[in-house]
Amino acid sequence: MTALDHDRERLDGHSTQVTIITSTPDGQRYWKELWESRELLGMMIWRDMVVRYKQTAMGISWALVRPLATMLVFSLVFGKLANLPSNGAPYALMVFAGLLPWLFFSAALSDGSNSVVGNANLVSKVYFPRLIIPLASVLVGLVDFTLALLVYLVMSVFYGMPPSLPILALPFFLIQLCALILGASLWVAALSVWYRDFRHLLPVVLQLGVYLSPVGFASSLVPEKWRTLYALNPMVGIIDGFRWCLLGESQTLRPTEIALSLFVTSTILWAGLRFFRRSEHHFSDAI
Amino acid sequence: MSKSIIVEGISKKFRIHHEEERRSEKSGLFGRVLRGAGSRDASSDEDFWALRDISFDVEQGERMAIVGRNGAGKSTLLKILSRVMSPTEGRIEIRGRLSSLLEVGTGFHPELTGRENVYLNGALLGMSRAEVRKKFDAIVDFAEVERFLDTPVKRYSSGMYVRLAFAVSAFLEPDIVVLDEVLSVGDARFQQKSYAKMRELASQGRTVLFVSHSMNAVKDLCETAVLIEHGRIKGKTRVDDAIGDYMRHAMHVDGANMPLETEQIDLLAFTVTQGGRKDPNFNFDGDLPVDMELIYQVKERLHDFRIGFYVKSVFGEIITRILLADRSPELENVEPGTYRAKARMPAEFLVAGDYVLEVHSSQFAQRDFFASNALQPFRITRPKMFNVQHEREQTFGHVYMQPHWKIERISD
Repeated sequence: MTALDHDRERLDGHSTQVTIITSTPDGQRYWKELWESRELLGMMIWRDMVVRYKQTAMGISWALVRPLATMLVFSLVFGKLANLPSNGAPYALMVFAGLLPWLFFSAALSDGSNSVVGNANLVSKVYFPRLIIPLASVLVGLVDFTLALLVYLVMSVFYGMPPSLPILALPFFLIQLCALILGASLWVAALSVWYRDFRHLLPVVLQLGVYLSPVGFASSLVPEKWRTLYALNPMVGIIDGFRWCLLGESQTLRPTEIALSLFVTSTILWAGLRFFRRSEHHFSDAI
Repeated sequence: MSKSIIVEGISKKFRIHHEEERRSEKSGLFGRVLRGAGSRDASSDEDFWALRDISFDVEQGERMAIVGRNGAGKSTLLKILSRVMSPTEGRIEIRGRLSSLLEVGTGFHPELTGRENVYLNGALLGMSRAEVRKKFDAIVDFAEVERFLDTPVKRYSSGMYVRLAFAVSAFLEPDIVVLDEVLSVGDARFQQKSYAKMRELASQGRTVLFVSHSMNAVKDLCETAVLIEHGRIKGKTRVDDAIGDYMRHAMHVDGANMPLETEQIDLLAFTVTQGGRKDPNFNFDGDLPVDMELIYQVKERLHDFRIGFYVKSVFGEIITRILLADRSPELENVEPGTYRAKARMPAEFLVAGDYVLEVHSSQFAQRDFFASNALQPFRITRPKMFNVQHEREQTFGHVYMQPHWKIERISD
């Protein structure tokens, strides 16, 4: 509630805000409180953005260095040296289309996982819905993603393969990607409060993940009989979805894969929210 | 009057890991998974109750202090009230918007400018952007940092930083405000200013909960208090009583740290009695003298040597200093040996109230032996000779004297 609302309420009648504190916090007000804290969420996103590129000469253009450099290396190694197929699209473009979701995933998940521990000074001193912290990390990553997407669009025009109608489905896959990142971040961020092991584990997982997910190559490379198992990695469906949206019909889209990815994503998000909500009021005990 | 805060049976348990356990803790999650998830080794952890069954009510507009030693549970209680921590048991009902200042400058980021930090800190404390914008000029004016608004705060002097940080919190407008020692920031001039601002905040009908180690500030700002000892409270009292109880019980020394050893002199015993009896609560009758005794061992020949007592108020001001050599300069040179020194505080000397007796020993202009490590808080009751009617009003000052009033009627 903003102060103004509150003042108004006080003037109108004596319906003063009542807060009940017990060992298991009141779940009913959870989402309402989160909504009321949206301004703070905005401030946190803005803080992280500003701080990230303060005192850098190149500023926000750093956000583009990683995707471009990785794209160069992958197209060289997978496309030129290993000579892998790209299903009719320029290899660099196909790699970039896969890198967009992957780099968003890996950067935002790293930030999100460290977010609660990284904001320990806030968590132990002031109350606000804790969910804001990992949420802000994901949304900060979204800003970098948007920049990279713009560069992709320019590049696709340059290669003569601008996206066509399927791009309208991109928001769907983007939302799914955000949900996956948030769900995974919630898990790791909450567990990191007790076990700092994740700070070491996560980079390893992400390092392997880039090869376990079809980032540098097309998922059609995976033998047919393993495809369903492979699709249990939710990033498979998302990356294929992105490629389909950006490169068009040349890339195949398998409904079962998408459904599986969607199922795994929603499970992770649902369980992550549940776990985070159950553990958040113990954060300040352990942090 | 309606209640602002109702605290019912709040307890808080922490789990303490023991040193041996740390080693297996290093294998952390993986070790635990291997041992079987969920099978927490109960013997390895010890429960520690930081708060035990705390209950009290705070009326709307009441200004209540929470006093107690470090580690007594004050901060835990404030954190629970601020919703930073959850209680293990119990229930709290808070009516109205509560803002808590557990530190100044929460969330200040060194890379952000003063202006940016004001908005960020404001948002964290629960102010809307519009609210901050409205008060921005006043905040900056109060903090005296106009010229540096667009400089990152990492380039601020520590004084500027603290002033800006405090200023944001000073312009909050909550119904209930929880303050933890935030007054003690900045230089003396700013402390005065921030203190005045806090008084202003507290005097606008807000409910105030205040924790501080400055008994002066507590007494000045609050009318009631609860005393926390080992995570428990005894109920709410007037602020004077709570401060006195705090001094006598929470600071309870009674030879606890004897002998007090230094290179040149050991303090072996320090006793305070009345009529040969030692009151466990150090409650003394104002009609009778109080006897003080020191036993100490001098280990080498000392000159310019002093030993004796300070009588201090609970706020730390020295009321009087009584040293062995005050009236006998020859006692400033002392040979090695063990000594017993007795002194007596006269009857009808101290005004009823709480005081602290401190053992002082030093070599003039060279060293202070015991610093403030040998203390005995005590309470003096009202001597019967004093007009009870005056006493009921309030106590004034610290000492009585016999003024030998003479009165004559010179006209009618």
